[in-house]
Amino acid sequence: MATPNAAPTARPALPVRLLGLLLAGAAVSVALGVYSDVHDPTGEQTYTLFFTATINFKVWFATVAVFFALVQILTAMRLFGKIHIPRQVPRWLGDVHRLSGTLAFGFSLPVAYHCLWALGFQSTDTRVLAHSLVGCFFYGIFTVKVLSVRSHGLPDWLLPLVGGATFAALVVIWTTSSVWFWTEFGFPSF
Amino acid sequence: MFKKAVNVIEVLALVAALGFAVALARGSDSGSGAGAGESGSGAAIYSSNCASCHGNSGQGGVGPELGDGKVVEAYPDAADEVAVVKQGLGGGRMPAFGGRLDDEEIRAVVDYTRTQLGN
Ligand code: HEC
Repeated sequence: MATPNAAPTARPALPVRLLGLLLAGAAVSVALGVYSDVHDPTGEQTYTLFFTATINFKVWFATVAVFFALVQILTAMRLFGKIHIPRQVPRWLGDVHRLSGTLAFGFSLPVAYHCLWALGFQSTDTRVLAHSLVGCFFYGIFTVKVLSVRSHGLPDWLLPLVGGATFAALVVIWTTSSVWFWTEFGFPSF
Repeated sequence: MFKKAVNVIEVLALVAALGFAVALARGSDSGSGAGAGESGSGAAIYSSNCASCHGNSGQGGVGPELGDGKVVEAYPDAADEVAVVKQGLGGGRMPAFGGRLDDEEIRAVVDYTRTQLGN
């Protein structure tokens, strides 16, 4: 999406662009939230791979997503000089950063699919409510993150803020699902 | 090389995201009939609370087989199954759901195991 910008001055004003980003993210989150509430949850067991049941599959796929998100955060911190290990930035670090983010997203999709399709938005207790809300928020803030990376001339604080929020949301989602699951039903529950 | 591979994977992820949206948007006629429906339906409760041990279709795993009428054989009276789900069994190997699910939800999931699971 590297649209060559012949005339940088032709870009809309910054507040307009920020508002655009915000609206794009909000649209995704709200769409998922409405869908998960309106769609009749099928209760279907979609897939198990080699796990005991769909839920175990989800617990572990979410965990892999968090692992890649961690790689993503650490590589970002190195790229922006917040940490200094390794001392020299390898040439391929930027690509590792992109790859880890892409994989984290990829591993999250089948999990989210089962949540949205088979379970739906639920508010039976605080954990479930928080999980439902933050789950919808996640893909919205992720959208903002991807669009921000692809845009130029945005303020310096935007990317760390949005990236950090994306990571934080994923950790909340994972804590209210995978970690909760292990505390209830035992680790590792493949 | 590596960069090219990452580019390809990114495009694949984009395709996956589109597939995700399309899959969600398709009609939900594949729903499992009665018992599917509102959130908190028996099927949904089973899938998120019981399937991990009793298997997706109640075929058993960590816990014994429930589907295919097995649970009705073991507990001809539904109230006895409700009690097991509420209080647990085997010193906690089958967890007590009394504090986690309310009476209505336990009723719904028990009905689901008796009438639909693995049939
Ligand atoms: C952590 C794993 C686990 C989970 C989760 C679980 N069970 Fe069980 N369940 C077991 C085990 C193990 C037994 C066998 C206990 C024993 O006999 O000592 C069992 C036994 C049962 C029995 C008695 C079966 C028989 O033939 O005696 C019923 C009914 C049952 N579970 C229903 C449920 C329902 C409904 C849920 C979800 C609300 C559920 N279980 C969730 C592990 C689990």
